[in-house]
Amino acid sequence: MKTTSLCLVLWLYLTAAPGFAADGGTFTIVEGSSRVLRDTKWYKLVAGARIQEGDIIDAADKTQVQIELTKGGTLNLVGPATFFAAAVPMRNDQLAGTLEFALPRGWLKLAAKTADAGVRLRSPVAVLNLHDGVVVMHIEPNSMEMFVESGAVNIAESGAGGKDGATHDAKSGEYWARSADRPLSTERRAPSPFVAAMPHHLIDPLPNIAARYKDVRVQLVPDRDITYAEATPWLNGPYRKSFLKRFGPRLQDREFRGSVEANIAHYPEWDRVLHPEKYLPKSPAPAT
Amino acid sequence: MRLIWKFNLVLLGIFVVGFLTAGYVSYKVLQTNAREEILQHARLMMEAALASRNYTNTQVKPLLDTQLKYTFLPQTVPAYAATEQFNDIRKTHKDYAYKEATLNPTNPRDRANDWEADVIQIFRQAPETPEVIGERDTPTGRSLYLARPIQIKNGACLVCHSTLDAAPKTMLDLYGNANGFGWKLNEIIGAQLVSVPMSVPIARANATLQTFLVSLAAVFGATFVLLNVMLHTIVIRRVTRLAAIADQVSLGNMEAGEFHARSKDEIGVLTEALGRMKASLVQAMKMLES
Repeated sequence: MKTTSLCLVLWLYLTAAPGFAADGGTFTIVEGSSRVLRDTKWYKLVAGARIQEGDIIDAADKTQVQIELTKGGTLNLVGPATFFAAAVPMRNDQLAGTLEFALPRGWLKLAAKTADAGVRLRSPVAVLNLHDGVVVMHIEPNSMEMFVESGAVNIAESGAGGKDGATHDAKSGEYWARSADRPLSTERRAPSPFVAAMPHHLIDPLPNIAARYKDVRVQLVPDRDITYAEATPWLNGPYRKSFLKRFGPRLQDREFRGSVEANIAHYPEWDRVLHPEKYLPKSPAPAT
Repeated sequence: MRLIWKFNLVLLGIFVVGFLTAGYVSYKVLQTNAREEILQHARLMMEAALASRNYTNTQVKPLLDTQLKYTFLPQTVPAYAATEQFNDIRKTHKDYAYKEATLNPTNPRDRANDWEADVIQIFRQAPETPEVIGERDTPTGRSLYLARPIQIKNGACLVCHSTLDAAPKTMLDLYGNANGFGWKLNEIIGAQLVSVPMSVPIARANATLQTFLVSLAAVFGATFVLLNVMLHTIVIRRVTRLAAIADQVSLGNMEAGEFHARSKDEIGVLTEALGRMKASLVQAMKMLES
């Protein structure tokens, strides 16, 4: 009986170990004050930390965060920026599906190298998909600018309710822009205001320095829990469903719970959690 | 004519012919050397320009390829790099010049002027000509130029210079769309021109020649004076004395003086002989009188 149990534990370890060992990538440059949200807690971000699926990165003004993915390429985020690693599906050190990121605002240079898996990047007004290529994007809540340095990109307007618009092919050397009140437009060069506003280092190829952190393991120090105000954009965004589940434990916090209660009309999914009594099976009315 | 005059006349003739011959030969050698030196400078400058072009093309441009997608950087153009490098040199050496003169340039500053266009036409008419060397007058003095053809041997050049549609938009933003297109593979579109001032090496050669000629004249002058002094002391004065005594003796004045030989040279031997002759004459005269 003992031997059988031991074999079972060993088999479980061997099959699970590669999955645990798989790194999504490494934060290789962290300049200035930046933080990462894991589950419901903010951590101060430092170089050498590993990125995890679900991480939300908040880069302050004039700060730079570079993420070198184990598979898939490199991203350089320049603040003020917010970035969400929606899906980093790694299995046995290989991409097991499409990488998915969201960029509500900020400058981002993405050098994608994903072979067949692909990268999907969602911004408030546009969604782009690419496999191999380099793009520089500037996202604001109501506008998007993108220059395709190399490769080919599919770009579509983000539609309300998660439905995206028609897809366009953006080629190397093309600039694409969209604002909330204007559809996607393109030019055959990066316009000078875009280049002038671009953080200067994004004009160069992104450095690859992940090897420096190969054997470094960083333990992030927790700061505080996410507040209701910070959570609101995510609870009302395109990833609402997963964030309702993820931020559910925060309902135990009185302040957070109070804020949700005040806006419960927006979160009917949480009504059952906050008021379970309303959903108890109704006892049959006594016979008269 | 006196002996001294004959001697001096011959000596002076030798000196003048020698001075003129040496001066002419030296002038030619120094001028040739000066021109070779100028040409050497020009070739060195041309090689430096080519090195600058090559460095820009192979090491600088690849680093800036990504930036070129956003904004055109003339610093990645080999011709621009070489010209800028020489512009820096010109801050301290104003008379030196380098230009990649082109008949139809993208950058207006590279447009060939009249004499440069003539040089380019030489290369266009005879493409096998490796280089052209010439001299011309400039406001700062005479200048030597060395020219080599710019031929489109690399198809990559045509990305920017073939048609308006193929040219990078960022380049058009900077230079416009009027010039620098229609170039063809293997076409000679311009010439690299290095201009080196001739005044300094030529002036140096002239100064050297002047120093040499003055030195030569001084040596000739000193030799002339010394030879005259020696001729007068060793030959003329002694021969004159011998001649005076011999003249008196021939007139019967045996008391005119003695032939004393102070040295054993040819004149000393002659003096001794004349002394013996006089003694024989005196003895013969005494024998006749007795």
